Amino acid sequence: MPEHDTPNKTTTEDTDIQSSLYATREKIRPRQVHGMFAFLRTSAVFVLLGLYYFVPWLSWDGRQAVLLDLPARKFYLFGITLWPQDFIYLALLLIIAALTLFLFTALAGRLWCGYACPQTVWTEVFLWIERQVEGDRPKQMKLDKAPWSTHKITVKAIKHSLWLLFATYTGITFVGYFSPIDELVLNIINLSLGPWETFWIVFYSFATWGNAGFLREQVCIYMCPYARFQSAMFDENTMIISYDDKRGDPRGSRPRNTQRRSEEPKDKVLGDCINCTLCVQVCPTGIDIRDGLQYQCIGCAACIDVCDEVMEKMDYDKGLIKYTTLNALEGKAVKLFRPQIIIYALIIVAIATGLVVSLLLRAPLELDIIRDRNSLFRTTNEGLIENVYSLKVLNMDTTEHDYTLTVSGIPEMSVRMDNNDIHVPAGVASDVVVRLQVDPYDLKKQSSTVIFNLQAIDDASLSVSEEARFLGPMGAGTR
Amino acid sequence: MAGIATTLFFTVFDPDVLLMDKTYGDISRLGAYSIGFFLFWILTACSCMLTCYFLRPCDRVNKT
Repeated sequence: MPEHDTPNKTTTEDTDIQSSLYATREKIRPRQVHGMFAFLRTSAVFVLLGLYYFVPWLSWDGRQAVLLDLPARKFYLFGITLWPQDFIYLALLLIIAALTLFLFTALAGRLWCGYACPQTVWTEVFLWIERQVEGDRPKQMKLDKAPWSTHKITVKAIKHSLWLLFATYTGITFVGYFSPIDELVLNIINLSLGPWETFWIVFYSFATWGNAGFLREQVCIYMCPYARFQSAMFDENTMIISYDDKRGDPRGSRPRNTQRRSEEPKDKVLGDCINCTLCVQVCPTGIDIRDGLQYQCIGCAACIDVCDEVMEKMDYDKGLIKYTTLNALEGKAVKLFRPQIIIYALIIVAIATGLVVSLLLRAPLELDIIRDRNSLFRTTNEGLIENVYSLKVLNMDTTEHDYTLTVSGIPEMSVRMDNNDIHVPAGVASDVVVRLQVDPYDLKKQSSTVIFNLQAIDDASLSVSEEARFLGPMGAGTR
Repeated sequence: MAGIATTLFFTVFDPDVLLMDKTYGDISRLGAYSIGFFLFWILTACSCMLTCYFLRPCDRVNKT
């Protein structure tokens, strides 16, 4: 194979990419693999996609269990309802996810890319559909080379129809996370879907079809930022997929009957690599793992599976390509617990504990105070200084509550409300207008602090306090 | 990145409140989120393209 005889190939290609910002792509048709890692990846596909397509259909307390209700600005996660005010939980969750990614990358390389990334998972399904329709790699290559015929058109049409069908279902499921999925499906059947839902279903379906059907490895190589910075998390003790060149080289084909190395002629001692190039053929990003660790490698371990199969056929030891570490390759001791591993783990545990504790201790009541924007203050007919506030009382509890409001901070202050009883149903934000009136002689400063305290009548532990400013005329309190 | 920016922005600003006094027709919240997402997307894409452009070595640009 001539492409393996030019070790500088990748470097030249890289320069070309930089100068032209575009590299002509040769279509990669990965050959099907069987083996332990292929099994693990298929299992991951079933578990992850199973969850993705199944979760929107779960219900909890008579509503969709996981619903990111964007129009209503509420997130339902099983028993928990999150409001925009609870954004911190989402942020913490994302931080935990990022740190977990870092931890696993430092430990075992690109596990995420090889087994869990949506790009990998959906591409795997699209590849499977393609193989069912067109056959494995050799047949696909033959079909693509063949001139257009009725047969070719039929095969391609079937493939794309299946792809689009699967992609559309993916799009509907995606929108189902944001808009109740049973209504959504009903609306599709009745052709009464809202414009934005329609747009997102089409957009997401199209993106799935394009990414998993056409772009594939180009997403990982050119578009994914993680591919470019993951090497920062690697060290000598990180598990990587590596070809053992000490054992494999010099490579070369050999007749099948001289299987055992001891039976080979003494003058032509080859390494264990028979140069069958199967590891290149199965690679979804089309690289040669024997050139060493490359940023294009998504760590899918397809080359390990296929090489082990070949080694078995040749009656050689398995593991010419295997998960190993740089230290192990160089014969040094492998250290599992390195400082960064311990630090990542500790931070994850700390944030996760904080998240759970604060979720458990979260008071299901929130009070937002907005001052009237039109006037800073006004003087009533009685000569009192009046400030108007708009209160947003957010009952995040699962039951309705009545609240009493008390305001402190300035002596002899009177609190005027349209309705003294604040009643808020479960999961609702109520607006309450409050007018505070103060005798100007009681004002010590132009701007004083007032404290609003909201107390649930039926639950003594349910209360919340919020500070606000009370503004008076210039020079208040100096008289 | 656009997704994160959209989430952050609309967590702080409710599109219904932002568009309250404006006459852009009846844009639903879902519509406002979508438009916001694509605006952020254009923004991030522009900044990435600029980075790409400025990464080019000067001699290649200055060649006459």
